[in-house]
Amino acid sequence: MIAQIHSEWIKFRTVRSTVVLAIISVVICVGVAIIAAAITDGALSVSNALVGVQISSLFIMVLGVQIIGQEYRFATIRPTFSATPRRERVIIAKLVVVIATVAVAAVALIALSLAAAAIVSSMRGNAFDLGETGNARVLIGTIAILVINGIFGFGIGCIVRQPIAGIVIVLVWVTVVESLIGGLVQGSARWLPLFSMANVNAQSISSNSEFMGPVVGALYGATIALALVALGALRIRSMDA
Amino acid sequence: MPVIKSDGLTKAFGSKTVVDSLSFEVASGVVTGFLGPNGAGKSTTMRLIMGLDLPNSGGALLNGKRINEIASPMREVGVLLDAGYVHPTRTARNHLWALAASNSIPKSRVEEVLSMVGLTEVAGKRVGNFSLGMKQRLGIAATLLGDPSIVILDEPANGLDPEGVHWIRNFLSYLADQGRTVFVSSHLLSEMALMASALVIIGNGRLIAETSVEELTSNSAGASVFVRSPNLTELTAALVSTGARVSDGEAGDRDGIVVTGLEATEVGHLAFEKNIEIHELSPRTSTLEEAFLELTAGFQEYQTEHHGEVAS
Repeated sequence: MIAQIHSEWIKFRTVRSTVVLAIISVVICVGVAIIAAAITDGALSVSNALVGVQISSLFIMVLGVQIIGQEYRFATIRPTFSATPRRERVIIAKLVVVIATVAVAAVALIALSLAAAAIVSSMRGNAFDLGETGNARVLIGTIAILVINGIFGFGIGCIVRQPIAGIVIVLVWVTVVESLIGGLVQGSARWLPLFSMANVNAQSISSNSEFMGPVVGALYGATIALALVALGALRIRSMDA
Repeated sequence: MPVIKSDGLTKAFGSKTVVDSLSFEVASGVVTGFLGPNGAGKSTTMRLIMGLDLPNSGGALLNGKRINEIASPMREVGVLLDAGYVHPTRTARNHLWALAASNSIPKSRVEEVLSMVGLTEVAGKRVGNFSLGMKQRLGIAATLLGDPSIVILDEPANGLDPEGVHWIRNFLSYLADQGRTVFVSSHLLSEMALMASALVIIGNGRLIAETSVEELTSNSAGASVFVRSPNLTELTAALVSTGARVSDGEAGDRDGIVVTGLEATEVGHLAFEKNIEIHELSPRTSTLEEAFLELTAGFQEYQTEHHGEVAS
């Protein structure tokens, strides 16, 4: 298994598009943090400094799709499965790489965004308080959400097995589907995989929030994302490569 | 024990059965040609052997094991199905390194195989910029990463320029000289004649023959006997009366005829019985191309109206 993870790590870092997506997700969040700090009058909260995570999440999902989708697009999945015929090993190895790289990107994204926000805030003479209540949840929750979103994208990629369709599904899901279902079906939002994580990185949680608590929300989102991966793995195992 | 054993492999795509109850064996340490007209199911069979396509029924064994039972497949079997199975923005070296890592093959081996196929100079370049010939070399390098005893190649010479074809031919001979089992599909029959000692021939997904090059050409109905005689008219009449077919000799060889349907000894005996003087009696095997066309006549996926003329 270590060999497969090593192989998948080499594949990840030797292709431009995956590395670029990881970098874009970081850069966007840092950019948004700078803008947030530049336009906020008064003290900037950590939560507001990391508001760009919502956009970064999209790129992380696309990254998840790409890690498997590209293999099918360029048919490199055939040499991959010839070298490792037990396909589930390849899927697990890719999943490990998705989780590890997104976690590292998330930490970098947070550190650089907070640093940029702190610098801009101090230049403007505004306060930037890292000691606020709920900040730990914002930081840990942000990492969790990004990782879960990466797994979600990877799961979609495993199911559809091609990058364009996978990316379209992810974009439509994020921008349209959840809002539509959540708006049309009363009480459904808390069960939608991405909405369900609304409190995971919230700075403060309202006592009458319709969404799950941060830990349960994260576990629920992760379960759905992993279920998508499992479904995709079953499809991949049972179909011609 | 055969190193590759196909046992009743069957694969259908929708209603079209592409590989149909296909059973054959590939012996150890020889080059086996896998022949068949376009659309015969050669590539599908190779994908089935490698576990990439899933069979409707039947199975294949490599060294007595199914592919997914082999712990480090690249150390037992190297496969090149299509040189285009590469990521265009990845370098040749990284492409090989990623494959090698999956089977715990050390990175130093990547440099060795790059050197074997003559790609060391361009190993750091993106594969998307490679010519087909270079990709083919890269694909062959990948098959050798695990130093496997079995090498499976699907139409390795396809689309290559003459220099590339020459290189592939020499390289396969080199692999065979090292004692590796080489299972190579091709429709370049003349290439097979040069290197393969055994042949597996399929048509419409079914086995037509498991044979050798010599057997194929000598057993073919196209095998003939050239006879030179000062009394061709009488000899021809005698031959035709036995049911043999007689045709003119080669152009410029007006005192000779080509006899098919009789062995040289039978022709000689007939001439002796009829008291006909003969000056030459030489068996001629058909070319591999002729024998192959004859064998696969009727198995071509797309036949022309003039197919019979081509195949005869």
